[in-house]
Amino acid sequence: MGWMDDLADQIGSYSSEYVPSEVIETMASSHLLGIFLRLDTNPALHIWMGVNDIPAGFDSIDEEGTVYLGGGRLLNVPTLEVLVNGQSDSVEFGIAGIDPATAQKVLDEMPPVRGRDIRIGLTTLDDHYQPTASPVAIWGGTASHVTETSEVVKETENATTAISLASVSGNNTRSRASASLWSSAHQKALYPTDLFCDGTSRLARGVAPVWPNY
Amino acid sequence: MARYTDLPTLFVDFLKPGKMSFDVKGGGIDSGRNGLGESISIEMTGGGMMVASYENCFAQSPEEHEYGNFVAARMNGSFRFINVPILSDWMGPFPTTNGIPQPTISGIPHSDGSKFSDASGYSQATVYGTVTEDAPLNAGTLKMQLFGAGRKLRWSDWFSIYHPTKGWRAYRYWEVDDIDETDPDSPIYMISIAPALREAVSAGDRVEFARPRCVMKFPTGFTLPWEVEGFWRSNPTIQFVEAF
Repeated sequence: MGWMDDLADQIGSYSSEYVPSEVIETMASSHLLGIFLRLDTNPALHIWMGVNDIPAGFDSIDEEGTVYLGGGRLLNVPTLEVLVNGQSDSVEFGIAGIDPATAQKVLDEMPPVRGRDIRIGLTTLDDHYQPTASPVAIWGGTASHVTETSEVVKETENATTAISLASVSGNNTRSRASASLWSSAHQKALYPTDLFCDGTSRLARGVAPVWPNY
Repeated sequence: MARYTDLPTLFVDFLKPGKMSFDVKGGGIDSGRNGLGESISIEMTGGGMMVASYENCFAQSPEEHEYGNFVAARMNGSFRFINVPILSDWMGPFPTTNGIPQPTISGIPHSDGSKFSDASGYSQATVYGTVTEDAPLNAGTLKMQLFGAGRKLRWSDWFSIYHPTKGWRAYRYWEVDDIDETDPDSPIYMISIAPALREAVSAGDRVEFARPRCVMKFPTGFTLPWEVEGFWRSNPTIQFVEAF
């Protein structure tokens, strides 16, 4: 049955061959590695760790002809962590060593970043700097906010600025409000005669509450 | 937006550097180690970038100091660019006269045989190339026809291409993949280049071998002070990195 074969193909592309065999083969010895960062703003930001602009793209996310800008040695990619047991660090992607005027321009022209998807992918390059496969997505996160730092310089040095983007992995955003607030006052505001939340102040963590006897 | 085209070219003959250096700098990191402690390396810059320096330049006359100040005034802060020539006059594939390679010929008269009023003529490069096949952005190989060369392309030579938006960019080849000598005077070469093409090229684009140049800026943190010793002597050292 044709549709089953199609389905099997689709499943196959996401399971057994997630990292293409060419990439694995290249990684077995000394190689060129490309690390790609995609921030889903409007327009999307495409940047990679190399110095040169490169035509590349994540499969089925980036359209044909997408060019990743060379972030070069300016781009800091931090240690990336995945969400385990609801815990992961917030990480910062940075561009350091740009002059303050340019930094200001970047901040002025930046589209809204909060809540946007960040994707990090990698692939290897061959001897002629061509990607051996489309970048393989290895980490996904959500952007939070942009920070800017500038260090004190001595008189003969140039002032430089670092811009970084704080982000979190998975859906572990720090901006989410607590889902519910259990207080007697709130409950009484909605239902003046309800005593259901009267005892919640005693329900702190680590306390074994005594069953109330009204 | 930074501007890479229509830039002045560093007048390096006037600066009289005592030492020069050019490099395409990559950056590798170590990966896992075997029992001997040896590791494979991972290059992460995607081919590296051009760095150059002209050390121990000489300035004494007022005009030389003027020019030094022009370079400093323009380039300090690392956000304005300049074309930096690569002095490959001695090692390029140029025809030789009395054993000395000639990257340019001068004294070319007007069509009626006359020269300029100061008796100088036009000058032009002896060796140049023409791209014979379109190549996309970041291409690692280039196909070109070479004209007027004194020898074959064999090990490595510097050359530069003037790109429409990225301006002058310097490259060198690390392998000659194929030579088509249908026309023995101007063979067509297929070469593997380093670094990768900074911008797409199309067939017919000119490849410059005489004094190849590259758009460069000062490295971040580097400034060029106007330092003068006794008797108005100055020996500045200038560093450059490829402009992006």
